[in-house]
Amino acid sequence: MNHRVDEQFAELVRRAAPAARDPMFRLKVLERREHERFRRQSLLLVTLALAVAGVAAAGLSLGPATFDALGVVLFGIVVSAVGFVYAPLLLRRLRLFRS
Amino acid sequence: MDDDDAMLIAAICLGSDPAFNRLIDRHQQAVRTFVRGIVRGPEDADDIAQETFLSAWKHARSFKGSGTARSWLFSIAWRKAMDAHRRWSRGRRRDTAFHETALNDQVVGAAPEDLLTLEQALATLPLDQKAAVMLCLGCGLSHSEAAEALGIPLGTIKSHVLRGRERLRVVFGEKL
Repeated sequence: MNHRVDEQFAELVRRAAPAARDPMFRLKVLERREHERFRRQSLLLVTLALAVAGVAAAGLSLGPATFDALGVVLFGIVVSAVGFVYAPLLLRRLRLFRS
Repeated sequence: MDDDDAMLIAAICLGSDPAFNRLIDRHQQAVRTFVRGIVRGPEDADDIAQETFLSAWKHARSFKGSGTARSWLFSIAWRKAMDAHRRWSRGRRRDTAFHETALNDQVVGAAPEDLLTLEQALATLPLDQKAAVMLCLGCGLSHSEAAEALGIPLGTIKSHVLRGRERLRVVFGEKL
């Protein structure tokens, strides 16, 4: 009796199941992944732009004596932000080549 | 197959896109079928299934290799489905109309009447019983695999399946 119910249910699930391989589904997953990556990078770039603008404004208001230090700080911000965005990608590629 | 899956996940940890594509191709049907059984509306279910694979990509390192990759994916899908269920429960009144029409709007990859019958068969079961029945009777997992995937004790899974089967017997008696 249990076996019959189990079979009926399994058959129903099989009939209601989606296609075994649906390329559209895979594409949607990949699209979502890229979208998320793009959103994260955009957010970081906006944050970077705001930080650069803020530091530049603060530096300019202090006068020409701070320009050298200001350049170093801005350069540091840009380098660390680029590193933050691309380092995981580079590390993954490096590990992939090593394996 | 399990060794292959373990190798695929190891490659995904290293950032391999082809491995991720193969993992999706290999398990998308099982994951989508499971989620469709526990979530109302195939579009919402596919949304959760996509989130599941996305989460698998991001957290591939959390796969310990003690169980199968399929159980691991089911466990991610289950957590996503529970989160969605909580959100939908909060906004149930607002969303009821949408969910009731979702099946009629667009059904991807299956006959609408089959999905409707499946949904009706499972409609009276609580969420965790639905999940246990779907995994054990619908997706062919053992009780222990289902217990691992859902993160509940083995005895609870057995009683869920027992109760679910009783309920299905009544529904099938009425409908089939």
